[in-house]
Amino acid sequence: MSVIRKKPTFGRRSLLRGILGGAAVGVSLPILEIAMNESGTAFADGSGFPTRYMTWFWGNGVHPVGWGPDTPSALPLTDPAFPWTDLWEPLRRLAPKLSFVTGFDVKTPGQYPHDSGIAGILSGAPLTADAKIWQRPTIDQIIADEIGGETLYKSLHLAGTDFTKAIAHRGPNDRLPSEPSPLAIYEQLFTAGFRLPGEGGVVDPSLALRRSVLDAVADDSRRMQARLGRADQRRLDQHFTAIREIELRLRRLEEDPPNYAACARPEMPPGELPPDERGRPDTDEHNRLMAELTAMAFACDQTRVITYMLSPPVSDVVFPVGDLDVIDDGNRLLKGHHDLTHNEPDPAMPKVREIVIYIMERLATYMEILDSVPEGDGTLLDHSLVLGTSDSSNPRLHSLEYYPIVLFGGADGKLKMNAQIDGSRDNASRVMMTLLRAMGVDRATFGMDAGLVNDGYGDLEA
Amino acid sequence: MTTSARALCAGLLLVGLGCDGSIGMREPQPEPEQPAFEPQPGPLRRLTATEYRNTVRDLFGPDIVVPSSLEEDQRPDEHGLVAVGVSTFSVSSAGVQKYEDAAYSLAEQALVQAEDPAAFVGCTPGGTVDGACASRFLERFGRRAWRRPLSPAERDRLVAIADDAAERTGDFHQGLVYAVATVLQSPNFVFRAEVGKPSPTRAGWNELTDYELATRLSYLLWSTTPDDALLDAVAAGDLTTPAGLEAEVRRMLEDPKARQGLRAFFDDMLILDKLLETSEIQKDPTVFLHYNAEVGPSAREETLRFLEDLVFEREGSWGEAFTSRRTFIDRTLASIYAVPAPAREGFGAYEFPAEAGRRGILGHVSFLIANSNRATSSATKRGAYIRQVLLCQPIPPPPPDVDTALEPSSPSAPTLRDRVARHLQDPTCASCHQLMDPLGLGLENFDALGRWRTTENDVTIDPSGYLNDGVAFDDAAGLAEVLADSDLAHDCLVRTLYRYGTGHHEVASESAALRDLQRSFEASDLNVKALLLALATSDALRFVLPPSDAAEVME
Repeated sequence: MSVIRKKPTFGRRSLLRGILGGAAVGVSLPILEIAMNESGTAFADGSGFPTRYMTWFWGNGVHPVGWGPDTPSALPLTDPAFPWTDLWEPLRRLAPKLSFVTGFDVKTPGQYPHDSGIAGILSGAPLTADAKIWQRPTIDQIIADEIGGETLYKSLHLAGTDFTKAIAHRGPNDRLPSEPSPLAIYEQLFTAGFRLPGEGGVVDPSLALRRSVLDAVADDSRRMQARLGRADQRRLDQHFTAIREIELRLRRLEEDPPNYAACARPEMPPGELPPDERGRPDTDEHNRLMAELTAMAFACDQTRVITYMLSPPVSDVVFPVGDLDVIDDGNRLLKGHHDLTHNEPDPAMPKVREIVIYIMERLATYMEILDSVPEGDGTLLDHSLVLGTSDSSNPRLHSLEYYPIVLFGGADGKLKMNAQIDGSRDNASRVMMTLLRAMGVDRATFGMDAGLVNDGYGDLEA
Repeated sequence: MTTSARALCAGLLLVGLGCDGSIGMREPQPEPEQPAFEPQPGPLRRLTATEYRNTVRDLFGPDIVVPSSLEEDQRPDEHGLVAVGVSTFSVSSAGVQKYEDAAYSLAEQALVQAEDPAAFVGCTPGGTVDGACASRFLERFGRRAWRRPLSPAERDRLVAIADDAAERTGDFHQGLVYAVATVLQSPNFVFRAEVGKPSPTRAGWNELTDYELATRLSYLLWSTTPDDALLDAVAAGDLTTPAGLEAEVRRMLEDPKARQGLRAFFDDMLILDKLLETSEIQKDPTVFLHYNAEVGPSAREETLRFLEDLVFEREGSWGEAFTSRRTFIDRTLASIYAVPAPAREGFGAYEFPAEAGRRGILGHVSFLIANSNRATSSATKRGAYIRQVLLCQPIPPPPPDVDTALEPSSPSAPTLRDRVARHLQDPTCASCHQLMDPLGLGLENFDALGRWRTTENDVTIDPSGYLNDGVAFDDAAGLAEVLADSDLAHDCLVRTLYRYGTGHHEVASESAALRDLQRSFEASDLNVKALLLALATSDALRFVLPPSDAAEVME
């Protein structure tokens, strides 16, 4: 089943596209009469804007010969002498607002190629050895529990290719699949009861009726729960919680929406993104649409936590980049990413290199779109913390050492940006602990077993 | 590296997985003293996407448009059953939202957008609010949807929702939308609880209520909600006697919906649903001019039609699933098989000639394309599927920090057999790969699209292989014979159907029930329809243990 649903295609000349299509950032979104939140949480100096969190994930790691400079550099990224590598180069235009975090290892065992890496970096915990079960929540869910309570959605989970694999987990057997359809996300966020700041209008009367229906459903849920064993009670409890979340959402829609100046309704995305003539997906456009939706979901304060999976682990996505033909079996073959990471004949793996550069360009585009939304004296990106990472470092061996980690936005000045910070083979969970603290989450530990830490990494802090 | 890999295999042996090479054999040995059967607690099972679709079609009629955006089902692992996944995983909050969206979409189609909603409701309202009409409708609709009669309190609450909404919206049918949306979002619809009540005959066990049992049977045999006849049979007490139960199961097996049920089972077991995902099955268009988005769905349909014919039309032996030369193909598949299309439109029966070398489901495009790479075949993927799906033998993942690259084809290694040779020479790899590659290499006459070939890079392909030390074969037809004769393959179908029907992985205390079913399957000459009857009427389906650590019952 293709996940991108068929809907009439609308023009793409979106409000945002004007400012986001080019590299230059300057066109501002229309400032509405009611520019500031009436409850006074968002002031012109930016101090009142909420801090948002995002995981930006791509599959299949980086490259067998690493990705950063051979020797960590203490220079600021903006210093002309900073030793940029070709893999990092696409991010250079965001240098003041990013930090490379290098030389950290995921210490949990890598018994399941790719999946152990995702669990190790994002939850700090190993998968169970026999059944591959996640044992701890991912960092985005820990943060969502802390800061997600005031928005319509506690967290959202997007994908930039046609896959629904989950990279967010709430705990054992409780995964949050990724949504690959920009249209589905648009409909979820910007139709059905959504009102722009200052947009009056009658409150949809069906909202109250839907709430009374959910009340009855919640009653059924409680009654059924009482008959079940403990594990099933927990599963039904999660169902019950989700029903309560919808109720809360409907209540919020009936109240006034938050009045952030930068909030705008993006253009409705197309229901389908046709592949090119060689069958390669339009990941440029898919990525750009998801970035715009992310920007407005944050700017309209519909959510404060988002995960994005450009491509899933082990995926054989053929990115629309360069010439990925490989001679094999006497044929010229179009190779997928995962296949190339294992089977590219040239040991220097130039095609995998090209793909990683392409991925970094998508990451740069995404971050620029967040950075193009003005908020107070800064931008949306300044009021965010974005963790960019993958499922392994060297994808050929699925290694978990020298893990790829890049941070953007700095969580409203809490984290050190414009730097390479090297961990000298320290535990990557310490980076996560620092991110949690920057997001205002106070926890004694993060992770379990070899991934367990009780302290952050001071050098990351501003 | 080698040490850690061995340590991993050793560790896995402790939990019952193994790569010591011996699992391919079933040595004749005296039947060990088997403990008596004891059931497990009944799981809380969410309707699979397929069951949801089938169920709402039964509730609303065949023309209903079922929302396609429901949260996708998850397999517990790559080769695991969705039927087990739905009793393991929680629904995400986005998934619960999708249930809400779907409930309103369905209710509005039937009650607002329909030309004659009164026909669906079954009575014409006397005014905007008509509690009696609403009540009659909700009682009938609720019984089908919740697979049991509503209690008076449940019915009254739904009627109150409908009346209130009718008043506020000024429309009787609009009011019913909210009551129907309640029914469809309720856990009584979305989940199947299999709790039962204390058994009068078996101390410490629970016996499913007749409605719970009917529901289990209905989703096992039909992949949908019980029909009125089945619910009436329950109400009449027919399921309480063994004869009554068997008569009802026989009726169900003769109902056309049993075809739908069988298809749902094989979709799950054989992972055929994956063929509908264009992002999952990708073939290089520059190599495979025949490949397009139609191939996956057509290939799935071939295998399902073949199995439906085998089980219900011919009541053949499960062994024929591996050896049959008869199948059903359309033009798309005919072009891949390079044979004349048997029907101008749609599917027609076709029998491969004996010399064609193509046998059973392992010769189907469905299996061959799903277990290959984008451009090349994969003996490892094909072998892993045979071991795990068809023989029920788990294979652990490759150890960490191992370079799994195959050397490219070259004059010194022209065929896949040459290129995977290292798998069988390096002891680190061989412990597991000897279980997969020798099976998969038997299918090397089929390329990544399932086309027949006799050479690779101008070198004649050697399609010989072995299941284990004692059982070798020459080619795909030989492999088919080996699997058709294999007790492992017969037992695996029984085991998988048991997991599918009970929604969980069996534990040791259930092995007696499995053994009984396996024996009756062998005794029936591997008749799958007889196996369905045996499972449906077995104690294993009727009894469960009480829920562990249940909270006190509130009602």
